[in-house]
Amino acid sequence: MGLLDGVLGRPAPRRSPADRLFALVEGAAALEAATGLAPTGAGAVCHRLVEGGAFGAFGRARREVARLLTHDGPATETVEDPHGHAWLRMERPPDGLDRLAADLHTVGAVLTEAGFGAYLLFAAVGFRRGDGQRLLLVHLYGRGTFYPFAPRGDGARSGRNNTVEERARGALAAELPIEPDPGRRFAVWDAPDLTVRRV
Amino acid sequence: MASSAPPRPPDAAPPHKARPPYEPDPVLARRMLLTMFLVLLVYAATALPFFLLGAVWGLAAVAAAVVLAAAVCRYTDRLALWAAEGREVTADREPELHAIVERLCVSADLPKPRVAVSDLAAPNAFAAGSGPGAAVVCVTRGLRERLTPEELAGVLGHEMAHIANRDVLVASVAAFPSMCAELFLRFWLGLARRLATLPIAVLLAPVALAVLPLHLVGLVTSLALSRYRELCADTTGTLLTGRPGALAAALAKIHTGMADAAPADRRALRPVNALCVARAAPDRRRPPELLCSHPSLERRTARLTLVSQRLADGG
Repeated sequence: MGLLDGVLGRPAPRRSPADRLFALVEGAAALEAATGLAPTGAGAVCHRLVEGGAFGAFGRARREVARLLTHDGPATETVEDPHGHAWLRMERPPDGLDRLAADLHTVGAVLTEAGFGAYLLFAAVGFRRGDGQRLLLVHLYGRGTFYPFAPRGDGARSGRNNTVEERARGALAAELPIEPDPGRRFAVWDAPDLTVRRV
Repeated sequence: MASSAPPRPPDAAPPHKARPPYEPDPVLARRMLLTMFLVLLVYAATALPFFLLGAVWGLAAVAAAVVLAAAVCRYTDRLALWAAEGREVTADREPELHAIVERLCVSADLPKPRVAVSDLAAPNAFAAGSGPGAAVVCVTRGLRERLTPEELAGVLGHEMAHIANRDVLVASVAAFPSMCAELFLRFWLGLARRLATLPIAVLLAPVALAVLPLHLVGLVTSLALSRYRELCADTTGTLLTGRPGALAAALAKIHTGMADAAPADRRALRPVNALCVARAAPDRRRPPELLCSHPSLERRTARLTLVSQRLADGG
């Protein structure tokens, strides 16, 4: 949003760059080599729930996403929160991260094609280590950047493990564009658990 | 706002982005430019007498105005928070508010503003600060008690739109000449009341006479600008959240809530009235539109319905 847009009060939401989710494949390999955190094969997309009901344009786009995703692999799962956000969770084989990246990309592509690209917030992929350390690699659609989010311990909202996040950023820097502004590496406590396989 | 594309047969493939997703609203932009032009005229009218005294005086007056305006912008957030009895809260204390604001920052691509709550029972919210880098959003306890989470997100979306549009800066700049004129008029009235200073007041009477219309015109133009900015923030905010229905519901609740609010609460919100999501006074004592800082509920709801229709047609 430029200065002129602001001064004129124009409704000019950001224009999303194309997502870079396919870079996840190399990023995950680098992360595992450096820190031992291995992908679980679970991933999710967080988007806003645009109003309009099941028969509005957004409802149609969501049905199209569901149709494209369920033709292969296990069914997806949706978690909605009362503030108007939803997480679309999916699981693919842990060794086939390219399939997960492709399916996450499909969600964004369908919603963008329908005109709702501005309502995509995050995509996230889960990682886990033998000692129980969890990590989510989060993609910010609006900025085209990635950042690691490593919760400490098992409890909800128990704080972030800065050491693990810092090491992960170092390992990923060569493969992925890392979010440069620390103030925008937001915690995603409400994400569904991507670090444990359910199927 | 309505799509101008001709109706297409239901079996045809959807068009590939026939229009840019968010074209500006030309009517509103034109009116806003006109109002800003009027604001400029008010500025020129303020500076003119000083330039008539001499170029040095004129430049000095302009410099003083710039310094004052900068100070107002710099401290507007602290002033507003202090006036509305707001205090900043951390993410540990208010995880819900922080989570909503963070998601809105992702949508609007803004740095995260500070988050504050006020213990007032009147339901309202405001954003303050000169720009996206130094902003604060504040909600009252009454607002959180009355609104559903979804409606709260809608109101915060409106406030984030104010921050994105730099509305506090625009509003302070627009209101500045009339504020200065008001200060001078009060000073003059103070002089006129005392016998000892009455001669000075008589000497200054022509200046006061000149300042009075300036004050009135400045007030009316800055209020008009404020009404447009509110409508813009409604549209921008709901295009961020994607849920104009939630903001419309929240506005209706806030309007009834403010009418029932205690007079002391309303008084506390009055200094930040221009920044609030809804007017800090009951609707039954609503002055004519020309003297209102906010558009009427009907007008705002009608505009939100347009956003709803557009979202139902496809972003």
